[in-house]
Amino acid sequence: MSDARLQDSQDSPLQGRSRRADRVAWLVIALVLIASVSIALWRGIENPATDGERLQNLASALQCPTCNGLSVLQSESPMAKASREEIANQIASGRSDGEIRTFFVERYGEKTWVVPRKEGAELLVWTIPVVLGVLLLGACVLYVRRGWQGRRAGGPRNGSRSSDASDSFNSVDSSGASDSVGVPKVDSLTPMWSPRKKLVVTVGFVVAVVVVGGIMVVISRERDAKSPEILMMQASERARNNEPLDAIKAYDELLAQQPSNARALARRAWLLRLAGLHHEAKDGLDAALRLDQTLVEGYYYRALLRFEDLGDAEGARSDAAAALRYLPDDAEASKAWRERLEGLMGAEGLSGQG
Amino acid sequence: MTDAPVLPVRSTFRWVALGVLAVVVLAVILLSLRPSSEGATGGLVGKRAPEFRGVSVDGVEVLRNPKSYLVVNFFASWCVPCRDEHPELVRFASSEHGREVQLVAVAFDQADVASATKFFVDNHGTWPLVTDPNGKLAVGFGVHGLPATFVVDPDGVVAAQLLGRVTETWLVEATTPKVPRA
Repeated sequence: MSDARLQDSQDSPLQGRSRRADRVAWLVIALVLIASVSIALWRGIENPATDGERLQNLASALQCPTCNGLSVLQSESPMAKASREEIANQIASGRSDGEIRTFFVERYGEKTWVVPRKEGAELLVWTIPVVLGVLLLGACVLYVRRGWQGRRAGGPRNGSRSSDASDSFNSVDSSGASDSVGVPKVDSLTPMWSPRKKLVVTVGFVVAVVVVGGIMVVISRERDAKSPEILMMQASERARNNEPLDAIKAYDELLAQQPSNARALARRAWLLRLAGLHHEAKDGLDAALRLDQTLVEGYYYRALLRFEDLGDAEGARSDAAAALRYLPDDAEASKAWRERLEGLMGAEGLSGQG
Repeated sequence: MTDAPVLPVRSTFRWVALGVLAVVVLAVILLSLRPSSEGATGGLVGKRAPEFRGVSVDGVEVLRNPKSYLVVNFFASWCVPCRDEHPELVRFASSEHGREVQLVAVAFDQADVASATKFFVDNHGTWPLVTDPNGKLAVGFGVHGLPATFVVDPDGVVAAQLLGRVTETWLVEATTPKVPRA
């Protein structure tokens, strides 16, 4: 028979029950820990950073150039908005987070990045909290372990609790030796905490995990409070994923914040057009182009709508020509739009007229 | 009871605490030695300038002229140093050297465009004043204070930048090729 079984068989009924309770408590703690870590890992694996999350992470890491103490995610200053838009454009054009960071660091210096790099001396900012956390956790474990198992009391060293320990159950050894670690002279364990206290500690631990987890969820939701750029990106993603209704909802949320966002109006209108609501789409595109007369995609969508759905070839040609006048600065984007527009203008029924 | 030496727990924790404190102090010292931000002065110097494309308050498109130096001056009418530097820009723009340079002002604050235009007209601003509705130009050049002036050489590289008041002398020097162009 193993020592543990032998020990169990030698325990008094009270001590045996306490030992079983200990095991259950440890099991609960282990399960809570495993579940927390598993959920965190699962969320990370299942939900890789979307463009919207990338925008949010980058914007929260970048200090607003013209306002002290705020990130460009938090600030609503024109420069912060412009920076968010720049990040969104760069993400859309396929730049990596590192490249985007370099773009801003080149212009505003290293300190503009609120989140330190994971290299050089700045690595300490990441490692010290981990080291401190491990030390703190170790201290907690030692504290709980001592309370759980008991302090070492004097007596013959035999590698297991002496039966005397059960006699002094719940007692505190007041000898000076009990405050020692790695002491060869002591060997028996005197339980310090009553089952009730152990229960309280276990429940407290579970509650602490739940509360901390809840706080993290709340913080995460608050972080998710959508800025217009994030909503725009989410709407685009949903449209790409063939979720037009969700995309329209995101545009509606965005337009509630920024009723004059011409791009959002145009894209929302385009989704309405895909749903067969041609006249509503036309109204939306007209409104968008009234707000921004240089909006290339607005002209393009309206040209398509006029040509394909409303039978207005003349209007479509005029829109396509207007779009060509306002091609974006970026060479690649400009080339793509030009090809699109020229393709449209070369379409049968639209080319060669007028 | 044996007489083996005992290391008190309190003493162990004290050493651990001291170790942690030492690490934290070391980290603070190392982090404070981090090179300071160069954002204020030289961020883009020597690097390719963002493409300059703007629309003037008169509705005219303004592009960089690749045959000359481009001076981009970000300002706002409410910015006192911007007002202070304006006569220097006027002198530079009217000088023989300045006439060879493409000088463009950018109204940094979109809410201030009307005031900026009035200030510009009232104070002999003869060069194009462009708006920056989405802040794209300001972010592209890395503006984080006013006034800010950037000099782009004919190759499209940022030759100089200055956060603060410019002088005619600085402008002339910044727009003079260091090596005579072939």
